[in-house]
Amino acid sequence: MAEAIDREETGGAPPLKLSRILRARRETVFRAWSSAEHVKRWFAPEGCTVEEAAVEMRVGGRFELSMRGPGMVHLLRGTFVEIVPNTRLVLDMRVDDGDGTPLFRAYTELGFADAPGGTRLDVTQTYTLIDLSKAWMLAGAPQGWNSTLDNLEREAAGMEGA
Amino acid sequence: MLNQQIDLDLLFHALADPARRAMVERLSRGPAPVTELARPLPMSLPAAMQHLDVLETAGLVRSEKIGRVRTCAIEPRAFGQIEQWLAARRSEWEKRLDRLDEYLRTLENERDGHG
Repeated sequence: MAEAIDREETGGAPPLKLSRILRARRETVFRAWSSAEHVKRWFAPEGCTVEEAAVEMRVGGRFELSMRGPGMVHLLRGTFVEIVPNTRLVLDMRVDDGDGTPLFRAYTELGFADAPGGTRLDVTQTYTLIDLSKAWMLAGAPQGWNSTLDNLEREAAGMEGA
Repeated sequence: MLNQQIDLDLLFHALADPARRAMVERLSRGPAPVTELARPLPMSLPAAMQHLDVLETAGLVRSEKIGRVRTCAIEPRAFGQIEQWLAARRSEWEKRLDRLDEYLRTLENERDGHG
């Protein structure tokens, strides 16, 4: 499940990127990703709680969370792909709904760097959409074909510029 | 909204096929007749038209028949939905990082308190 996303396949288009200066030392920011105990405290989206978590910070180790919010359960199943202490983390994540139906894959790269006032965390997330519709899947839609959003985002931007 | 969710499901299904993505890519460069869309694909014209049906149902593509030629064009509004989905992911991360920042202060305080 953890093969790297082929850059050719995503067309080299820019994925979702965010940067944030966090008011803490670099090793503390890195440590916040290092165990289930830490991750449980902050990872869930607003209004959701992490019910269970398994975080094994070693290459190939699990990064798994179940999150519950009003009327929804999301399961995040990921593995650590790359670990450079206090510097870089790469996680291959997949988000499933409560029935285990895959929603999307998020190949997640995290960069940790010293910055004035704390640590700059750079998040880069490349999405691969997996068929969202159970109905279509039951109707026999071909599985295993993934569609990346990146091409589309680029195309949509191109169209707007046209 | 429920409506939007259903649309998004159709969109993602429509785009989960390489032949249909090839059609969308071609159309992103401008409108084209069905025959031109079908030509580079290793399939019959009727098979290509079925793929176009899926794209039209999802609202990604619209077509117009003028005389004997059916011409297809991209429907930019559908791509707006995809952008909305991406914006939701971004907002989720922004909130997550807010929480991380708060938690980090707890961690740093504990460390300073004990060290």
